[in-house]
Amino acid sequence: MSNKTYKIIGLILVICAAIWLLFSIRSILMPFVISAVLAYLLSPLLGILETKGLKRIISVLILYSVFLIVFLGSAVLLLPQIFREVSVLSSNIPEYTRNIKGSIYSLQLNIENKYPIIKQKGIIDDSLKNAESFLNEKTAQIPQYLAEAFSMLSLFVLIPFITFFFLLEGRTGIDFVFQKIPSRYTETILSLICEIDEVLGNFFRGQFIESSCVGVLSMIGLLILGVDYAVIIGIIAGLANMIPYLGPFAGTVPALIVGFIKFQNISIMIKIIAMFSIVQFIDNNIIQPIILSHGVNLHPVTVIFSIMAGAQVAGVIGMFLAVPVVCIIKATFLIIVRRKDLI
Amino acid sequence: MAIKPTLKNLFFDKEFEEKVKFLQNIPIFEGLNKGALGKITGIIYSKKYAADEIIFEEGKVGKALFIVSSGEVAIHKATGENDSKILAKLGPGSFFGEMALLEELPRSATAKTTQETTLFLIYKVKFDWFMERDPRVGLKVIFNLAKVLSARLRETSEFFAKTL
Repeated sequence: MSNKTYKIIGLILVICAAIWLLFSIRSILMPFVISAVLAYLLSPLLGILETKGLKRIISVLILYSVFLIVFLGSAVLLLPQIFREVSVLSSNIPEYTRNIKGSIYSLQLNIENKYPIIKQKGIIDDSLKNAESFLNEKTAQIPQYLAEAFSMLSLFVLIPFITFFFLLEGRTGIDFVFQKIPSRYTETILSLICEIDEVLGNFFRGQFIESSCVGVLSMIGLLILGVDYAVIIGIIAGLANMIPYLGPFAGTVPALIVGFIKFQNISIMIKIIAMFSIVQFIDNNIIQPIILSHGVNLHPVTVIFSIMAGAQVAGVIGMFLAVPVVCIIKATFLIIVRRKDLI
Repeated sequence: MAIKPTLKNLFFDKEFEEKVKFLQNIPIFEGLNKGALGKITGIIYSKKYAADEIIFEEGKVGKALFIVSSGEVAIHKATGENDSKILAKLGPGSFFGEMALLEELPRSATAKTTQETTLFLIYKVKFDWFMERDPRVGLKVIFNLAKVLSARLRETSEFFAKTL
């Protein structure tokens, strides 16, 4: 085997070992991944301050001060509403369960009166028993889910701390790696860094702005329709929207459930679906063209496949990171194909 | 009062100031104000090379423009299988590989350091991205680049005219 073949095998082994290591420690990666994404999102703002000649530490401190004010302002405005909605939701769950049971019972009576054979076979009774045991099991877990969500609040302390160091030392780290690259690969590696930066920048910044807009629009739409928990559902819709294609559907489901429980009719569900469709229309035709988030240039089937694979490997965080990872693989592959002198 | 320089040292990056001053004297950034040059620094990478290190080779696809910050670079052109001729020696403030900002084509010569050298690199993708976001400054750089290329073309034509 030639020297070149050994280098290729060595490189593949190192990449595989790195992937295996990351996979093994994936449970503790979340705050680091979120911090890296945040640092990445904030780096252009930092760049603006730095191109004015400010020191990096001063730029980071200014940025943090601005974000602290914005965050505290949002918290003052939104947190009381969120806590109110969560406490109302938890106290209303028994009533909602009774309402649903009542609606289903009246529906059962209607159907069984019209079609007595269904009553004779006990089809609805069996289905209801199964559904009831499933719902009991899931509703019993709601406090546990909420407790888990609140334990994530500790991340609010950890993430800004890690992000601070990523912002402060990120460029130094990249420069250090850049200095160590053998000169004959400099242009290739630099082209790889720049192309990945371009694609990831488009994706993360685009998704962040887009999801914020979708979250706010959904919140306003739900408030207009009079659906309860508009703030929480708006935030869920915004967060879910960060997952391409599948996200918008995931955001609609909680609104449909809450809307149906409150209004007990189909027309509200149609209104909610229409409202989310309008939000998606605005997103696709106004927001996306403005923020150029189409930059990832992947086929829809590739995107859906990668999201499902991401979910299988690392759950929700895997779904969110699947598309950028595929973009990195694609950019690397294209550079290797174009530049045969990479290795 | 000494408070102003102290505050300046506290808040402003000295290295950045020096970089901007250096870029002001590069022909492709001629006529750009401090703010525009500050933006340009955001797309510049810096790399140190040892003496006698090859920066790029003739025939390999070029993707970046190089500016000599310190040290010296020799531009070689292959004249035979193992022979090459030095076309130029470039010192601080000189730049080379500028065609790469316009199109990705094979390099027409080899660049090699003659001593320990620090270079500034501007990569095509980054420059294209910069042009999209700040076309006013980007256009000025392209205009300066066209002037440099035109001057080099004129020099080459005059050289060939003399050899005929």
